[in-house]
Amino acid sequence: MKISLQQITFTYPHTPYGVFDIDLEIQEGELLAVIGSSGSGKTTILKLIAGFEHPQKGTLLLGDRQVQDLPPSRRNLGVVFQSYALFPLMTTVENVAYPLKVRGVPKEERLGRALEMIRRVGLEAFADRYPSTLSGGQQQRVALARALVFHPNALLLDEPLSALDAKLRIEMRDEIKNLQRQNGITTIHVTHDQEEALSIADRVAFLKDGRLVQVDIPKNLYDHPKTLEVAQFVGRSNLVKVRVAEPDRIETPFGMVPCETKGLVPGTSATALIRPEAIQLYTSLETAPSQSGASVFPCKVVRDRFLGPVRRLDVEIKGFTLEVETMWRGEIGACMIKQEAIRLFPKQD
Amino acid sequence: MILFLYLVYLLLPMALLFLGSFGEKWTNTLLPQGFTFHWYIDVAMDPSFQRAFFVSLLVALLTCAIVVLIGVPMAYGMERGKLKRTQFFTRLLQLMPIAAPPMVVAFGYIILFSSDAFPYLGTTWLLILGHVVSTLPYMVQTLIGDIRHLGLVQLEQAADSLGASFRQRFLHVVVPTLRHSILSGLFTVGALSIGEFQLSNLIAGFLNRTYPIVLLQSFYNASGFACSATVVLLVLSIAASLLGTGAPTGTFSERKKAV
Repeated sequence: MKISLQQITFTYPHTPYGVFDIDLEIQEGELLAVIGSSGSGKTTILKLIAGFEHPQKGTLLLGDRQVQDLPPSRRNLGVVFQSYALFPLMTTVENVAYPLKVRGVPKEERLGRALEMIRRVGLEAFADRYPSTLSGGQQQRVALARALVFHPNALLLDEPLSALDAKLRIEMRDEIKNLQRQNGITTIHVTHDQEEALSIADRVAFLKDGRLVQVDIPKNLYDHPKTLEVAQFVGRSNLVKVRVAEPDRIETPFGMVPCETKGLVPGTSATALIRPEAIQLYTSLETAPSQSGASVFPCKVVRDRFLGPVRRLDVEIKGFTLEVETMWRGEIGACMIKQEAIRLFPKQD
Repeated sequence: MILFLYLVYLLLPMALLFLGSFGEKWTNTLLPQGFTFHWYIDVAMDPSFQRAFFVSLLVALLTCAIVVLIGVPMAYGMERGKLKRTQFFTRLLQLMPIAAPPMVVAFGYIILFSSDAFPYLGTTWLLILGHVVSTLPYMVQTLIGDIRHLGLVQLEQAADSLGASFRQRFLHVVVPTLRHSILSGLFTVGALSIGEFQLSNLIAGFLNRTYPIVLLQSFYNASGFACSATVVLLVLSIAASLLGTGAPTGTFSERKKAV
C-alpha cells in the first residue's frame, strides 16, 4: 500500500529535536531506505508511521486513508524492531501466530498460517523453541515472519540488521529483499549503514537534523549527491578545498585539474569531491596515457591497506594525501584524475 | 575482614535471641542456663499473641493484594509515559520512605482520623492503608527496574503494532512478563508488613495490635518468653525476604540458562 507523508512535523516534548516538514511518498511495493547519522530523525519517521508517536502537524496517508491520529494497533503495519522485541514467554510459532490471535483467527488456522510463514523464513525446525534459545539471525527471521504473517499494509524495519555480525548481515539483507519482493510489500527500512541502504533499496532518503536532504535512487545518491553531507555519508570520499581558476579548471593543493565549473565565477572557493575509486593509478608517468580532460600527477604511496579484492591506498601528490581504491596489485608511481571524477560544491556562506 | 565483623555484629544478637528462647533461666549470666521448649508453647498459647499473629498475617496478606493491584498499573504507567511530570513522581516515590518517616505519617493519620469526619483511627483498614502506603514504593521500584531491564515498553509497542488492544497487551504481555518481579516484590512487601512497628504502634487499636507491638510488651515479662516470641517473628520475616530474593528476577533467557 502506498504511504504518503505530507508536511509532517514532530518535535519531542521540551526538546528542539524531531522531524520537520517531511514530504515523502513511498510507492506500492517499493523498498525505501531511510539513512542518516544518529539523531538525524530516521527512527522518528518510522515511529510516526507506525503510530508510536503522533505528528503535531501534517498528514499521514496509508493508501487513501488518513491515519495520523490512529493508534498503532489500528494501522495494520508490520514492524521489526532493532532488538526484535520477540515475546520471551512465547515459542516461535506462538510469537508468529500472535497477530492472528488478537485478530480472532481460530486456533487451527492461525497455527497453520504461522507455520507456513515460519517455513518461508526457513525456521521450521525451531517452531517450538523459545526466543532466548535462538541465535540473533534466527530471532530476526522470527520477527520478520511475525511482521508479515497478517498481510500488513506495509513493513517497517528499524535497523533490523545492526545486532548481527558482518557476514550474517549481508545474508539477511538479501533475504529481506527476497521476502519483500515475494510479498510485493511496501517497505521502509531505517538504517545507519549506507552500504546496506544502497544495496537493497529502490530509493534512499537521506535525513539530516530532522529534514529530508535528498530522496533518490541509490546510484544518483552516490554519483550525484545534492550536498556535501550526502557525499560524505554515502561511500568514501576525498574532500579537497579548491578555487575556480578559470572556466572548467580548478586550482587544487596539488595542481590544476580540469573540472566542470558550471558557470562559477573564477576565484570562487569550493569543495571538490573525488571518490577513491575514480582516481586511476599507473606504474609511472610514462605509462599513463595522455587524455584531454584529465590531469596526471606523479605520486607516492604512503599507506597501503590490503582489503582482499581491493587495496585502499593513501597516495601523496605534492605533499597532499588522497585516498585511492584500486584492484591493481603492482607498483604505483602516477595517478590520473579525470574531470568526470570530480564534483564541485561551492562554499556555502 | 570488615564484612566478617559486620556479620558478627549483625548475627550475634539473633544468635543470643535464639539461645535465649530455649534457655530455662537467664538472669545475670552471659548465656542462658538449662534447655526447654516451654517458652514456645507459652507463646503459642497466649491469647494476645494468637490474636496478634493472625492480625499480622491478615494485614500482610491484604497489604500484598492491594499493593499488587495499585503497584502494577502504577509502575507500568510511569515507565510508559516517560514525561517530566511522571519522572518527578518517580523520584518522590523513591524518596518518600526515607524522607517521610512512618512516625510522621502516623501522626498525620492520628490527627486526620480521630476527627469526627473520619473516625477510623484504630481500625484494621486504616492499619492496612498505612502498610500499603509505606510498602508500595518498594513494589513500584522493583517493577520499574524490571520493566526497564526486560524491555517491556518495546515488547508492548510490538504487541500494539501487531494489532493487540490495550487489554490484550496487558494480559498477554505485561502481566506474564512481570510475573516474577511481582512475586519478588510481594515477598518484600510481606516481610516489611510483618515486621512493621513504628506506624502500627501508633495507629493500631487495642484489639488489632500487630505481632511486633505485642512483642515489645512481652519484654517486660520473662526473657525466655520474649526471646521465643521474637524468634517466631524473625523466622517469619526472614522466610518472606528469602523467598523474595530467591525468586528469579533476571530475564527469561538468564533463567533458561540457569536451568
